[in-house]
Amino acid sequence: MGTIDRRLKRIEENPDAEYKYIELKDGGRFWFKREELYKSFGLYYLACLGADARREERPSVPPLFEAIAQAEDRAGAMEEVLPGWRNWKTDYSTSVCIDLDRLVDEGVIAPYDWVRHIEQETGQTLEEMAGLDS
Amino acid sequence: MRQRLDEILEDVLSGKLTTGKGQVAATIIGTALRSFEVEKKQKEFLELERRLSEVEKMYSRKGEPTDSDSYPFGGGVWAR
Repeated sequence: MGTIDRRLKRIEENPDAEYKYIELKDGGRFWFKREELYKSFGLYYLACLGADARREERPSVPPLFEAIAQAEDRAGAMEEVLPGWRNWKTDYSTSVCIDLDRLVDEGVIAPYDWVRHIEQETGQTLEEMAGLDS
Repeated sequence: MRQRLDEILEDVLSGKLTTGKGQVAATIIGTALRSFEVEKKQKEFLELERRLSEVEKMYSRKGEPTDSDSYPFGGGVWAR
């Protein structure tokens, strides 16, 4: 069994494999495609940015974030998905609109509103910044 | 159970238990230990089978997107 286990693990953890997985607390797994991560990060970020600016409801959270919230090792899963993620609020190349600190530290999926963040940072509303406050 | 086997051995050697009774008791305990071993192997086998079928499933999806037209923000596959 040991040999089969090792051979299977090599296939499961093959760095060139299309799918990667996150071990879940309940013993299950969530399989994701590394090449599709831009959808859960970038595309979802853009959709939320628009929704937040218009004060509309956001689209439902990508399953990837639900999987990280339910992961056996949340920090490890996050590192696998987004290396160096702790800088997510200051590294602007990271497009994410979920509070990653809360996701990893508490297992909570909390939206992070960049529109409100910018308004607080600048002391101006979005409408004022766009010159639409008259 | 191994401790119980040691106790039976001690009892047989000290004469507190007849060799016949000791042998029967040891056989029963030995059988129980082997059945635990078989059960453990079976669990390991089922776990390997589960992992293998997951890997087969993921490889069979090669090239297919994990999201859908109605949800464009990246899917994934839950295996539970």
